[in-house]
Amino acid sequence: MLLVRRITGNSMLPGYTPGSLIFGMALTRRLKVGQVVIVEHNGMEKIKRIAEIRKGGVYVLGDNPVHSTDSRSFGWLPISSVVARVIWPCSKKTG
Amino acid sequence: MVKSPNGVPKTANSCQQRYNRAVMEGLFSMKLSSLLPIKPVYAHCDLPCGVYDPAQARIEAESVLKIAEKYESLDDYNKMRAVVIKEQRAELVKHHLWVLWTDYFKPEHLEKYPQLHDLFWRTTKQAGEAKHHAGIEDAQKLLDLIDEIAEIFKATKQA
Repeated sequence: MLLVRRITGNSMLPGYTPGSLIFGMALTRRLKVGQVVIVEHNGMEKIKRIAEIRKGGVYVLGDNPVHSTDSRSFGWLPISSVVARVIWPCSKKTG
Repeated sequence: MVKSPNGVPKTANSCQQRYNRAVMEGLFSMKLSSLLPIKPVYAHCDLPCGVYDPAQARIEAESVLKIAEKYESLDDYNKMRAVVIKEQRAELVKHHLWVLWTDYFKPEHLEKYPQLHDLFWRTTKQAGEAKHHAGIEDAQKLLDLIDEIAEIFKATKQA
């Protein structure tokens, strides 16, 4: 299933700018480190990048670590909290 | 300069491509928004850094003043550069003031300093004046107004 969302916030800069649209695909394949995903946390859908995967859990980080609340503060998330993988735009983390 | 096969410099070409892409994405986004209700996804940070200081606005305003002071002694080329830089700095003054105004100052500060809204309004207007004109007086007045804000800021920090 295809999801369309609009980004609010700066934690995924520079690749994902506030106000821009993203397309996500509900999970059909295995998650991989480095993928950008939509996770559900505290009743909100958040966009983050997977930094680490272990059995049953993902550790997600923002690309803009100075302005990101992510697994560094809320810890590991269950795999089941991953709603979708972002398929467009495709942004590889740089720097 | 590297050129593409049609002779256009590659950098200009790629700039144009990026521009075209941004326009297409914007149009696509507008069209899609009108067809679908699009939910937000949060790339959020719930820990604002909390570092505020009128000194940021003051530094930019000092640049505006220095440029105004030097303007007449510059040659035509540097006058042109000076105007561009002055306008950028004046715009940064506005930005830093708005951040202070909207993010730092709270309703309780307004109760104690009821002139705050008017003071910020006059100061950002003055930044606009300093941006539009190259007069030393405009730039100095901007600095004076920022100093008024800085005094209130300092008082709120000590409270």
